[in-house]
Amino acid sequence: MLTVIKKIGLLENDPQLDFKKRVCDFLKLEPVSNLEDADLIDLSSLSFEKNDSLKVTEWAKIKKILVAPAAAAKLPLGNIKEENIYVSFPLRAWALPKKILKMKCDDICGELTSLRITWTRPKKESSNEHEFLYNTLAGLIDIAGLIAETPLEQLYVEKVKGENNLFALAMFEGEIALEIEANESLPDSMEGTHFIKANFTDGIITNVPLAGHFNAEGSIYATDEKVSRLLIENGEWDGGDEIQNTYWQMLLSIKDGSYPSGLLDSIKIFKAINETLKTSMPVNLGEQK
Amino acid sequence: MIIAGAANPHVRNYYGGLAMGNCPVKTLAISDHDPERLQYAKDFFANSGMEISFYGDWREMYEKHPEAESVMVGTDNIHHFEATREAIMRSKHIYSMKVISMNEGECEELIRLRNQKKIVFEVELELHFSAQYRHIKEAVQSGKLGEIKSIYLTNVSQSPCNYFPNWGDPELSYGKTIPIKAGSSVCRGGGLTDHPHPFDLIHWVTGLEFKKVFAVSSRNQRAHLKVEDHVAITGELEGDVKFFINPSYSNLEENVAKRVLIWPKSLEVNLKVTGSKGYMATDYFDKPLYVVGKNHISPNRLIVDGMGKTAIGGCNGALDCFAKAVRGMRDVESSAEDGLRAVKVMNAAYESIYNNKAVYL
Repeated sequence: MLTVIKKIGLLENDPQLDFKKRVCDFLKLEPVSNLEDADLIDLSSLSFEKNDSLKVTEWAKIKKILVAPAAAAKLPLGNIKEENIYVSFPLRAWALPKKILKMKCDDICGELTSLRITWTRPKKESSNEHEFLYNTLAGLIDIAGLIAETPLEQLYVEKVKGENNLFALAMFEGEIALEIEANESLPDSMEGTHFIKANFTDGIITNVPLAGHFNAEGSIYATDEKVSRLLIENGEWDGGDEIQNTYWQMLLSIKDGSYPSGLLDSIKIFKAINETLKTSMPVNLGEQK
Repeated sequence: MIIAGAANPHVRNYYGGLAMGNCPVKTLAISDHDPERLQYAKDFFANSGMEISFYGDWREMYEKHPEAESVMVGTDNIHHFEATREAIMRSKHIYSMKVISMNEGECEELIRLRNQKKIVFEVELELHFSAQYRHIKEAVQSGKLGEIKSIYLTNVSQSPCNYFPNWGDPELSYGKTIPIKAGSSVCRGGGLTDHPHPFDLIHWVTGLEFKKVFAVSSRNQRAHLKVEDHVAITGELEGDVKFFINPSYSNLEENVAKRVLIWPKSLEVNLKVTGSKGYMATDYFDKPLYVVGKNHISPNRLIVDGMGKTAIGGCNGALDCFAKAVRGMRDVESSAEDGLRAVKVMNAAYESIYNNKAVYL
């Protein structure tokens, strides 16, 4: 059912107030500070850590409200109209999980078996710990559930103390596993990455790079000041220099008879090089038609 | 060297270097109870000009070649202990395919015998020989990254079981049949048993021991497999360092008759280390080649194929290291202790999946 929303109530102390006003402007919605005038009140910046609970509960009785997942979890059930509540899981609107879900529903790759989500950010873009755990992590688990389309059965988290850096494992009904790498403590010189790899019985859907961190071969080393991309020429100790090794390989080829004898095109190539250098013109060596 | 079995697909990777004859290891004999694999070896070495004897039983080979200094043990995992113990008792140096055994008691017994006989025992944990991982190890241990906070490692490959059916047999691979979870028809012996690298690599890079392990295993992608094709593990190392490992067969195989390592990249060994002063990440790579071709085995789509190496003599660095260790020129790069350490964590992960709880080591 279409929800008629023309006026959005925004809190004056919302840390994202300017951004949200710009969004309203773009969507032709009217941001209002007098919450009583709003069709939908955005309370998603409230964490329920202070005395927000009562206020939110009161609003939920009379208005449609948008609340953070942690706040939603603390609302007194039975005392509110649930149809007035919208839980803020913006990642539900992310194109990637939506596409994966669509392809799953279209049976492109068979049945889902596991998901791996990578969520990384540099420290400078890191949120506070509460938001990291109860908005970001909760949101990632939510979109996994959205894709899995089965209930969450188990969750386990290993978090680095004092940092927004964790690994989480979860199981959804139907033996569907979820792996989460959420790390918002990358050096400030780095860009964040947001990947999902969905493994199916008959295929894979993913935006994970084919190789490494930036879809480039080699290693990266990053500090807050800069990112270096270290290319390693030889992956093996006994590899030596690849081009130098061609000499060894050539001798072996001569030895085993697979290397052609004769002048090959050496004269032609020699003359062509000299000619083009001398004339500064292209040298045409093919048969004239 | 004599080669006891090629049930482990990696054994074949050594044939090229050994056949070229410029490897510091001379091959005297190869045994395999599987006629097809033995024939493959015979055909491979047919034009090498080397005098190699072939046997259907490693016991007979051991008897006939008392002159051999060393044994490459490449049997199915279930036979590793027996083949290795017998070789050590004959004072042969051991180059073992991993895992030594999923039975920790057997690993410990072999280490005890190694010490008693004073032989060299190297386990093939070949990622020690990839420069990018060595580079990260040096960065971590030099303090360049500061205090290590977390380490992430995916060792995700295709399943070898379609092409090497013995690899998908729980008994041959794990050593016995144990369901991955109570009541499950899927058993231990798949991706986790096949991939000791990440457990070894994390210890090798950080020098830290594993303290706590929690693991999950999803339903198999490949319904026909009797062993697990997915495992994900997290937990804690010494010093409260958090880790994540995925050693699964999550990269699907091409539907082609002969094994080709394409899809679109067959193997990832993606290592990411987050420290207080910096971050390093690298993946497994080996001179990739990008190809789209109408006559490619997987036609008309982008494939990340391998270019191959322009190596000096085709001898594997790990085997070269082993040969030097036998001659007393250096220590082995990856020891039996490294192999056992990895097995202990892997078994803890299996226990965690089975009992659905975190396991402390």
